[in-house]
Amino acid sequence: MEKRITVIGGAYGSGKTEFSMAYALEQAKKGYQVGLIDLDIVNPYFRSRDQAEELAHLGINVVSTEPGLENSDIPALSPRIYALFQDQAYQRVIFDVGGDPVGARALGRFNPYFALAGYEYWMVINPFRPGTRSVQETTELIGKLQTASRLQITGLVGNINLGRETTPELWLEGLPLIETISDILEIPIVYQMVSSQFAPMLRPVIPVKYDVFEVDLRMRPSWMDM
Amino acid sequence: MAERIMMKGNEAFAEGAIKAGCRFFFGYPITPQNEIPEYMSRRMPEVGGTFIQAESEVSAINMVYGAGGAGARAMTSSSSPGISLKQEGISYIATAEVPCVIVNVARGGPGLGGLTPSQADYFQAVKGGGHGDYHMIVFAPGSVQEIIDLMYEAFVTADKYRNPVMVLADGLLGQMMEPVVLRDWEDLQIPEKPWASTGMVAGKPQSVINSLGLAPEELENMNIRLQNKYRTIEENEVRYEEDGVEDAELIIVAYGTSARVSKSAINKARAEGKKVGLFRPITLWPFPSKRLAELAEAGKRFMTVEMSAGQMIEDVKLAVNGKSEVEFYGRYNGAIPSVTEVYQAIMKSFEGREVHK
Repeated sequence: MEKRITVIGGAYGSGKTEFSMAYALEQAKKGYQVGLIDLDIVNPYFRSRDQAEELAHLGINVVSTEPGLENSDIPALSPRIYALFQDQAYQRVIFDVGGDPVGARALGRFNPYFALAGYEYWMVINPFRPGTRSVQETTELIGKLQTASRLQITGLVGNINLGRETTPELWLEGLPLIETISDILEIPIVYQMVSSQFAPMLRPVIPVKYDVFEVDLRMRPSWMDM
Repeated sequence: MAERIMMKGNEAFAEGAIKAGCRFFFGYPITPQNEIPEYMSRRMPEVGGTFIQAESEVSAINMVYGAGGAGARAMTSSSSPGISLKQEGISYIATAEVPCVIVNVARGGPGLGGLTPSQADYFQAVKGGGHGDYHMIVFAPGSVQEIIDLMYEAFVTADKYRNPVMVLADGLLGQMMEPVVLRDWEDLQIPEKPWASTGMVAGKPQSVINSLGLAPEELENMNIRLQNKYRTIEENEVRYEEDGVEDAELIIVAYGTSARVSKSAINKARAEGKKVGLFRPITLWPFPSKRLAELAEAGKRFMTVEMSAGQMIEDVKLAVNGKSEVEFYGRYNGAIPSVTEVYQAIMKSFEGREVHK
């Protein structure tokens, strides 16, 4: 299941960036040389490049746009992305992609490289977010993401939450949608992502067949949950 | 029907408008509010509404003028530089008394500025950014839920007074995600608008939507009518929220994101025994001046916390009319004050005061 290149995509606000950073950190802890590519050219808020310095200290090379243009609204991609594709010293390369099909489109130009290197493309799904609240709209979104990115989605990451209002009951309420998508499209659920804050409360209700991936939320200031 | 959902502020502006019966959206893209037109482009066709990406901000606001003038619930959204471009249209709309809603998800300025959040459009929103003696009603939500609720109130209030309403937020409120309850408003009904310009009907007097007043007496009468309306709005539409002001010596006055940050800082200072409260204006115009004056009479002092060089502080000073101290803490150029910074500003304000008691 683990490949050298993992693409993390999905809808706006599904939890892609939090998962990408946490997954990158986990791979770094395992001793891999990790590159994290912030491919979000859609939205200038809550991006992994905002954490580039902290992540560098933790052994992760974050590549976004060219230095000095991090806060620009320019859909320009750094040539250093190609370097990460080709430099085998990077044992794990993670793409944190912008939301929705408009964000996924940025992947298209790298198609020959993905074809050559192989990849996993995991879609983060929060069934309580607009755009992924029904089986129909989620299936449609998957189709559009695949068309825009010219890649196949190979795994689902559940991120069932309502922020500070998350409860075990709510988690269970969100699960059937992800399981149905997985069954219909025959895409495995690779992880159930939970905020470490809620993990003790949620773990007892999460079926044992799932790998639980705990995430320390990095992007959310504490005052937001007061 | 009510449903729980995780929403971004920008999605909430859009869905909140749809729930409020808005069926016409006209806009032009600008960061950090692009999710609003994007959401509208998808949702409006689903509800039988109209979405138009105009060729410019000027065009978009004048489309709102037209649709609102025909009696529809219509809106536009933009961010700071785009809102500046709309000012001529807003002045016309206010003068012609056309109800509509304008959302400003503000970013750092002045000029082209940056993409990060800011509250430096306060003056423009509450003092009249365009020409002439007019006012918009200005709502300032402090959470994603409040964005949804205030979008409904914005359309209702616009229709009630035939006046443009601005909903002013900073970029972070547009981008942050929170759990919300999305409900259909049971009392949703768009009032009859006999004044609307919808074509000639035999026997019905002609409706004219216009902001021209060439004859001086006619123009002055129009202005007197507007001013009377503004006094009524000042009397009836002030909204604010208080938290712990009764026993407070120092009251932090803040709205939007600044109020959220301040709340955490106030809790921290309270834990240190400092008597601090929060006063959060929800309408920036009409401003809750009367209540602030009462609090000043009661011996409270104030500090505004703003993501600007200090704009709302002028209205707080006017409200307390010299009867009380008004301090300021702010970050600007798109920076957000941290909880620690606001806490330190609060603690500093108490330094050397207790000894005089």
